Amino acid sequence: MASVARPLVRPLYLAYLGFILAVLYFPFVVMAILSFQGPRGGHTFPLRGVSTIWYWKLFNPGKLTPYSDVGEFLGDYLASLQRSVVLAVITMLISTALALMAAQAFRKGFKGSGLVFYLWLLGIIVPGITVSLGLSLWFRRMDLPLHWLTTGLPVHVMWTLPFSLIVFLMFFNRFDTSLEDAALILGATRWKTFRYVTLPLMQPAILTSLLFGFTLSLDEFQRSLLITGTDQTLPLMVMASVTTRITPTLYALGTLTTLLSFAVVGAYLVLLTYSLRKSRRLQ
Amino acid sequence: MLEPIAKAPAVEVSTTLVVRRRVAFLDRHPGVASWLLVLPGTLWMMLFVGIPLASIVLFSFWRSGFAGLVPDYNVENYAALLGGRTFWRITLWTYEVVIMALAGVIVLAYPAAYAIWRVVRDDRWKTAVLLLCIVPFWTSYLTRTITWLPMFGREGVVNRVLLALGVIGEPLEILLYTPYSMMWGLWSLYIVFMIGPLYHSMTKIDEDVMSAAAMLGATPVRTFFHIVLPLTRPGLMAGSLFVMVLGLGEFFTERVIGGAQNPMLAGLILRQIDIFQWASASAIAVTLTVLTLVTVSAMLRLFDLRKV
Amino acid sequence: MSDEGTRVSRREFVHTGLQLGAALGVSGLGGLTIVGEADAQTKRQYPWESLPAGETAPPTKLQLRTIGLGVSVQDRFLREFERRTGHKATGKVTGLTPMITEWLAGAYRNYDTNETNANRNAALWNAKLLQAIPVDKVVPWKSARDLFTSPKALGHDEVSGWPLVEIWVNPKTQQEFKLVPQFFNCDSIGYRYDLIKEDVTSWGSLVDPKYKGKVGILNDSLLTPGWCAGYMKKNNLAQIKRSDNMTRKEVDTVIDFLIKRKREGQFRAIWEDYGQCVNMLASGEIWLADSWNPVVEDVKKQGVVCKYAFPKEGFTAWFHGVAVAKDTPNLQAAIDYVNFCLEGWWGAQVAPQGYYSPTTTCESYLKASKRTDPQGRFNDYEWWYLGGESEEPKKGWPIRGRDTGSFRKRWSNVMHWMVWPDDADYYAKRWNDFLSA
Repeated sequence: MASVARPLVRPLYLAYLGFILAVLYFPFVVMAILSFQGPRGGHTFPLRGVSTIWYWKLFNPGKLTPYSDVGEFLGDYLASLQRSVVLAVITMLISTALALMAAQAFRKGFKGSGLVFYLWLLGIIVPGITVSLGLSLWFRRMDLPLHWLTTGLPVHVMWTLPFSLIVFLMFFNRFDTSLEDAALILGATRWKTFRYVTLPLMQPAILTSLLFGFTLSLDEFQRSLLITGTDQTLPLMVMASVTTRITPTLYALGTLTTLLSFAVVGAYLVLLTYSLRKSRRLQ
Repeated sequence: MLEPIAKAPAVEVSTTLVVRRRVAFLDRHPGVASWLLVLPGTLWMMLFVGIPLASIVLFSFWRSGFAGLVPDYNVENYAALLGGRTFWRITLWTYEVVIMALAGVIVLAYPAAYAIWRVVRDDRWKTAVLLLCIVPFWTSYLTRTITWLPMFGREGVVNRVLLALGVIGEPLEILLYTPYSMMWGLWSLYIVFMIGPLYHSMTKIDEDVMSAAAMLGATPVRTFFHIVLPLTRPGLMAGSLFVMVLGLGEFFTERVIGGAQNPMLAGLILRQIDIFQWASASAIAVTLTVLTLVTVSAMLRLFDLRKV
Repeated sequence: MSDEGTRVSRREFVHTGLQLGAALGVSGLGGLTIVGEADAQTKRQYPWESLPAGETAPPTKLQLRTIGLGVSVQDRFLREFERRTGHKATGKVTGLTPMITEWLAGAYRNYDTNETNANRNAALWNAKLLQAIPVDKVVPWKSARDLFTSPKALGHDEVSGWPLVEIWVNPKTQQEFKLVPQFFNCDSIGYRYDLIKEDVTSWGSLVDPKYKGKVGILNDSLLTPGWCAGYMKKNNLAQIKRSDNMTRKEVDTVIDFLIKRKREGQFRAIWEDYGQCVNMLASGEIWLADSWNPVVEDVKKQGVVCKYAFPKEGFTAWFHGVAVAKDTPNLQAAIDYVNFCLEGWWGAQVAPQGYYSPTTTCESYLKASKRTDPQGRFNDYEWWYLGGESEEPKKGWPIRGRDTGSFRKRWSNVMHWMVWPDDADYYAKRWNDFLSA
């Protein structure tokens, strides 16, 4: 796709884009610098010495050092990060699948679709804390033990489902059905049409839904607050840590997750390039 | 396993008779098929949202005992809430904040989405930029918020740089713990939810339309208001819904970056739970739910996302 | 040794001394515990008593599941408990509100104990979600301070009956615990001495227009109006009968005063969490705050000159305790845990945050360590409990020890205890008015 914007204006747009990205990443620059804070320093400037002790603390949870603060929070962040990632992956898959199915139904319209739509939206409309409270009371009544995966998952999916649904609805709005119509006319069943025509076309929407679902679940803490059980997800552990002591360990964690994210995104882009090149070669 | 479809017959050849019949049945009754599709998700929502919601509606009519709820039906919680001036003041402020947040995000996101759509050339770069926008959100929001103090505090980076350059004489206090700083925090938090949908909608705009407009001599402003804006309505509506709903449920930024001196509605709920007033917390939650529902339906009336 | 509730007979002193010898061998925990001399073997009577280093008790079938704040639930405390008793120990760290809410909503079945602030405990006790612990099961209670046993002690509040009324099922007979005290302290104001350049001596400084825009106050609908009321009462700015439990009119007076100050721009920020307060004080964002004691200690560790005030109106006092869940299957583990917290080692671990232990058993541990004094002249007990003063003068007294002085000095200057007021929801309502003003 050739870009048509006037040549004079183009650098301005690029500069603006750069500005937005800079604003989004400014905290990370600061975070990265402060993650090398000296052992006696706090989590604001100035830097009192340079050290990698906070990274060490990430990988050695619960261990003390001569500089260890008496009240320091020595939780295992990496374990809770793992839990959060697992939960987020499962959430995004379930949420996208369910929302995709529902969006197909909404396309055709059905009796009571208005009511059902608002029911789905309730997931993001009802304030998070109260969902947590209401659900924890019900789990108690049913004598369900609280566990981050079994009682945490429904809540995360409930939070991301409406987002996924809206993404798909937005995608189907003014959707060009000519390809689908052609397939049906040529004799394919609805299922085959869906599988081989609609689904590939929906790739961007599916990707968006997956990304949103993953991102939202990773950082969800209001709804999870009272129903996660003993092993906490990352946002809850960060919250526990922030209310105890804020140490640069959090910055080390943030820097690490960002670097990890870059690696994942980078790998994806490399794969994308490779598959593009492959498909070009095949043509 | 499936044989390729023969060109002429409309009926699937390779599956067993039973499945064929089932599929044919669904083909003839699309309504049933739709219900089946929507059922799992709906059940999930009913179970995990419907039940808590019903519970808190119930609780909002009870009384808060010292250590729990007393099923003593009354409307006092609502009377006390809606009769007090503070509630209305907080509600008004909450809506002000959300509307300003939405307006700001729209203004900030459009050029960015446009830039990714038209100015960035390669497909890979587009993907890269979009992913770059989302990566910051994979680090806990709490962690990002606490970096505000070393960034914007009195002794923070920004102030130090500005002081060193001589641009200001005294550290700027406005950067932290003010409504302005809170707004800035909200914008940077919500912008990704607008850029994504907007970009999506933009990609569906036919190139030829844009070329035609350019050839016919439309100014960029005209192109924007008469072509881009109308054609990106689905994305705009989706993004606005997201921002609106997230904003009405917002309470953390207000406390950490806003200095807690300008409370929003959702924070009231937590404060009531703090002192075991579950009944009035439920009343606030129900009121907030109703307000959000009204807002969302009003927005959908402007543009119904479900229209195909 | 101080005379605070000393009921340690000579025989017990020797016994404790032998235990201390054993405990001195506990190493592998960095510089935080006493670095040892040779240990003395002694036969333990109870599983929660100290164990020589390197030894571990065999695992039992019981486990301890506790929930509490980050200050008392820590991995290394639980590991030491596990090492000594063999009970598997797990702990969840969370905030006060989620913890109590979870407990009330039924999660008490997932835990054996909780470690809570005393003023919240009444809610759990009245909901019958806890069980009473007989006093004879808590062995170190023999060395309890009289603050928790006698109405005549320093710091006891006649009017509210605190702290006795919150600890004992029957304060007169003192046979069973509702809540076993774990640690306690009294709060005042933390301030940046280098920025203010003079000592703060009154709660009024927080609302003094001289410090406009430099003050941070806690976002708590009960505690913040509390100290303000105490200030106004003691300085005759308002007619308040009880600053810890005010009537609606009194609450109105206090809140309206605070609103006036807020509108004048007095408060830079309202802080919620511990870490936030440390942050703001250390970076100079605020110059003074109604912070907690450990906040100031943390700020000091960063090399910032921050002090804790000795206000003339008095301190606000509080205590935390361990409560045992009703119907817990691990009752013996819970009792062992309660004993463990009062045995002395635990108390010595939390002392450097400024927290006092309800029993005097930690004194022997603290006397053997010298972590706090930068010049190494005085041991930790002298620093934290004696604050640089003593009846037996020592070479170098008085030292600049703990900011606000000795145990005795602080506890004779208590403004009020942090009681749960009767009209708590009115407090909250007016606090919302204040926040949105």
